[in-house]
Amino acid sequence: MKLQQLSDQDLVKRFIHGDQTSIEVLINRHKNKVFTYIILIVKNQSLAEDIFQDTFIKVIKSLKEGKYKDNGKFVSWVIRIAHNLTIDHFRKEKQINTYSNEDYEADIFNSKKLAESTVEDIMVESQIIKEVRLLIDELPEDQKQVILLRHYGGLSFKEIAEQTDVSINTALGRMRYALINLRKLIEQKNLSLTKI
Amino acid sequence: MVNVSTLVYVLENIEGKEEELTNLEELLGEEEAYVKKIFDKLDDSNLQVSPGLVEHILKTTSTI
Repeated sequence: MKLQQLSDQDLVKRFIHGDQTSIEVLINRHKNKVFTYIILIVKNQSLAEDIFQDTFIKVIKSLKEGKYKDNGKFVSWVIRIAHNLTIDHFRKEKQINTYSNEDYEADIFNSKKLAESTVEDIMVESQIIKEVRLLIDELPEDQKQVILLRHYGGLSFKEIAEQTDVSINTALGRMRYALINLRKLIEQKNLSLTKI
Repeated sequence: MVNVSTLVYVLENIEGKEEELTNLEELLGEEEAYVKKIFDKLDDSNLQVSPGLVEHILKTTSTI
């Protein structure tokens, strides 16, 4: 069986038992998800890459030191590490990020989904994607965190509550307000999310 | 005999719990409707790490 066909759980086991190539498969499998999670918070390509690198160095170290307890949610664990490192970064900097959305670029022309679209369609789509990034950006930080941890980390509300050090009700409330805000913003901007 | 205010308190709380459950269902429904679409769009934007970064991480950690 090819390594690419193995589950995260099996790849983790193989890596712990000394198979170096397994971790490469794992990183390549989840890199876009983890990177998108980080960049949506820090909004800067270079800083996001630094945190991405630190995240996987920590992941590899922890795996080698036997600190990972496998519960079948490898990517959730990686996202939690990325989350903590992002928070640490802003604590050290003692400021909320000041980057704009222009500090990182989408590579929409190489998107597989749009491979057969016309240039005009891609330009329209590019504009929609910019608007969508702004939507996320306009959410208050605590609401944005809940949405991102749910989507990229697949965390339950209980896990989000533990991760962000709040009660489950607060995590649920933040999600609720995030959804209300997103709905309002989508209506205000008259944004179509089903185009192309 | 049950005090009226206690009875009202209990009834309000039962109602509150039911409401909480309904809200959670609604919340998950809305999450599916809005959040999934939004993130599908972000997935189209193909945000990627620079080529070579993964190799660099693997090289850095090979001696750990």
